[in-house]
Amino acid sequence: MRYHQWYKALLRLYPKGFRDRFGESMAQTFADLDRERRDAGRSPAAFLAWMFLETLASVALENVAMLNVTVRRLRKAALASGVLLALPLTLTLANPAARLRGGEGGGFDWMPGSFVVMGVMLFAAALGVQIAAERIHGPTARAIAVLGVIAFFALIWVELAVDGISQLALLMASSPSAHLPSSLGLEFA
Amino acid sequence: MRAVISTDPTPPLTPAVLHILLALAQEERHGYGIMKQVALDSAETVKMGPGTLYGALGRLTKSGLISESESRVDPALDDQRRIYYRITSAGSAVLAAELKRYRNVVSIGRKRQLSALPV
Repeated sequence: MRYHQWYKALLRLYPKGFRDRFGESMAQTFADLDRERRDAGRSPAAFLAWMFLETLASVALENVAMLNVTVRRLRKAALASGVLLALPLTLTLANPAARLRGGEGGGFDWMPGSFVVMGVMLFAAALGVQIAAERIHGPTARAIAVLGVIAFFALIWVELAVDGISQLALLMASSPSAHLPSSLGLEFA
Repeated sequence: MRAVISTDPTPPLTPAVLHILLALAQEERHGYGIMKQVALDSAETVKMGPGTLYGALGRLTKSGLISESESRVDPALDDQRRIYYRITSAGSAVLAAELKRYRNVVSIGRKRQLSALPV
């Protein structure tokens, strides 16, 4: 029946997670209720009005709930990045030679661009850690995923700070038999 | 103004949640089966649509009060596989606490002979 297709279309307005989990069951329940209505000889108008309004209200509620979760997640990520950024900011401001303070540079000396890049990276990592921790259920798999996000963050940081990954890749490509620890020692000394 | 924080481990349940837990208290049911049982238990006074039902089922599952059972066929309806839900031990404890609360309220009403008051 056509209104079964309309109901399925309405279910597409739910957040994806909810729809994937309950969409099929809801369509099935709608079909059950419609069959019950037909068996009782009731007209479809009141039934459809109730079904569509009730589901529409639930769509709004679930989307607001989803939005609240997203806002909460973003707020936590922003807070974590802010707290972690306070350390390099303090060290930079405590350094009299820092360029941010009008010095000539040297020591712990981050520029505004570094704070922005690190802020974005920390924010993305904090968000990744939260999503991994929330969505992955097994404790081992969750720990691996969280460590993976942190390792990825560390790799990007090493690359941006000292071209560490590029240098390592170049070294390994040019001299596959090179002794890795001593090569690293030369590059990062 | 200071916020009042409830220390009640099982705050009062909404009518929908109470009736879902009641419907699942004795046997596993699928969504439509829960709806039918709730309508029967409440003499059609609690009417849930699919939106309310599945929203509540999602929240109850997340809070560990119910869990999904395996899918199976309900021969009374059709040959489609359905997801069944069952109450957990935490859900049974919450339901028992809620029923106790209701019994206490009824007991107070009886002691004060409130049933004799005009409605």
